[in-house]
Amino acid sequence: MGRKNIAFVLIFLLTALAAFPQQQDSALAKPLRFSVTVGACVTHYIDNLDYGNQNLGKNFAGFSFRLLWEPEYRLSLGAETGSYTMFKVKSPPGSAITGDITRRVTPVFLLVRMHIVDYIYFSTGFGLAFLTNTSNHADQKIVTNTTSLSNYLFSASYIYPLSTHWQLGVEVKVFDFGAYNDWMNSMQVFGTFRF
Amino acid sequence: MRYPILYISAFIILAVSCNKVEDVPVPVAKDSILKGTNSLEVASKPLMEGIYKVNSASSVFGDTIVVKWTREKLSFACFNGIYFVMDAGSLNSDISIEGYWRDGYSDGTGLCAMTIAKAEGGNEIVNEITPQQIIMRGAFGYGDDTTDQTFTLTYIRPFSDKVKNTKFNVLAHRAGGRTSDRLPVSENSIEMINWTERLGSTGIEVDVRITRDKVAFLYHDADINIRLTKKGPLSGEIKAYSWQELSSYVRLIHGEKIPTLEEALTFVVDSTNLDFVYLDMKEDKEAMAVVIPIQQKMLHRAHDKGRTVTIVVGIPSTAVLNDLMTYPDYQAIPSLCELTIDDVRTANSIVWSPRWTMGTQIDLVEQMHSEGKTAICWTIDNPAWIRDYLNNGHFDGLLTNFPSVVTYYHYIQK
Repeated sequence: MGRKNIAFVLIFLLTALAAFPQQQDSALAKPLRFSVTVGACVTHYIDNLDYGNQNLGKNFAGFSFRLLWEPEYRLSLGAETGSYTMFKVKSPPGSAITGDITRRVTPVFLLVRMHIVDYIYFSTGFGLAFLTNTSNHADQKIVTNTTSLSNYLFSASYIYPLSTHWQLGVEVKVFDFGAYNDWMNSMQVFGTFRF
Repeated sequence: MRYPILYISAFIILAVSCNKVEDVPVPVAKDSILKGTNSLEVASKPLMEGIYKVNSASSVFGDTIVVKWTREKLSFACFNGIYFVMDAGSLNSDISIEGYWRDGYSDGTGLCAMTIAKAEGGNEIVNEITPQQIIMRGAFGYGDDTTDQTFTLTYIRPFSDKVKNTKFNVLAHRAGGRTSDRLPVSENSIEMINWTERLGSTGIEVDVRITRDKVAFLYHDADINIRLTKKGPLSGEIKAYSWQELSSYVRLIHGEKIPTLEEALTFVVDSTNLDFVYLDMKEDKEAMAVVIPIQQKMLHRAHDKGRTVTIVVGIPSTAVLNDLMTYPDYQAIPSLCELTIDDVRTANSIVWSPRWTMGTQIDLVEQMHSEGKTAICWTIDNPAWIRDYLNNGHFDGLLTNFPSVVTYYHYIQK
């Protein structure tokens, strides 16, 4: 099945989920309808390189930013972005050239978050991803950019409310970036301000 | 979780969608019938070439098959895109033939093993005498396992005088065919150049790009992608990189190195019988200054080796034409022009190459012929159109992703 079809299926599923009224709405009506989240994470690139993956660095720090509209108890809609380093390859000893290659990504995803049980949330997202490759060899820095059109995110979160407005949480994410079939997961801690 | 089935379904769909398109492996016989056989003498091989009647399995391969030696391989070409790549050897005047068949338009493939018995032409062929009859008897199968379908070919006639006496170019696109057609080697690779003659190709078209440090190399797309290359650390626009970076970090989809233009042309001149190379210029700024010296060097190399090889720089756009016209004495540079015949005259191209959708354009083709130029049509892939253009057109060659089909319809002509 092509990625376009998957995107249609996901949109359909998420729209269907959002269309169901939640019984708890009236009982738990909240005055706070929006939230801003900032997170810091450690990423791990799932190495599926077929070539040139000697001396591959797979673990890096990153951060994310998320804005959510929380109209009801169960589902929230929003957008997420961030900046992550996927991998860094250093040329192996004895190779014809010395240097390194780094791939970074900035995703811009639409996000749906679902409250599962107390403190536990699942999220899924899809959208664009902007890949940047930086090659440093022979004192030359070459930067190329690629826009990936077919990208997905799945995550599970534990969110603990500190006060009416503030929350802390941890989250595990899995990313799929379609342009080069890159997979990456991350573990992040985040703080949320609700308003 | 309120809708677990929906989430699980979505995850499964996503996971399944990530599977790569499978390759079509070349079948290999477990117990070769060629063990212990001797190679055929050079003079014996042409005696086997010609048009054969398919006595069985005609519903699969058609009523007739073109049989032709292409360097070290014996190739069969069918009307419908199926081709055979075979090896042959003799033992006690029996000739054993073994290899595989492949449907170029699908993933159908299988083994084939045949024999020309001593009394059915084998003895004459081995002794380099024109045989009275040739009957190939054997079987083919599907996949790697068996050859359980009866397959018999009977020699009908040699190639016609028209075919023998006419120079016709069977030009293979991207050095042999597209990677997307799941060929066993990657497009625009040395390996593809080595392989393409098995499909009957007499020449190739290759895509030429220039690296950041002015090295000409073969590659079709503008970017590094996992359609054409093994997944590696480099990405983005391919011309942004130096040759050292490309050669160190990029491999084509079947594992081959990206060749430089010079490596590719050296291979053509030194190691093949190909006699026509069309350099399809993918860059239009200062590319001719890089490519033309290599073209000239390789033309001299071919001349020194006593080979007649035509190497033309392509002119697919006005921008490339303008780039060519910045080169000193550009009208002396062998070129192929895809634009109008006026542009052909401006560049003094030796070949006019219109798109096939423009039709057979017989008047314009004849006009080019009258001016001493040749006309080659690109890129025609449908068997019915190939047959029509060969039967009704006046082109001197066809560029195609399916050279075996052009081979069939060319050599079948009376």
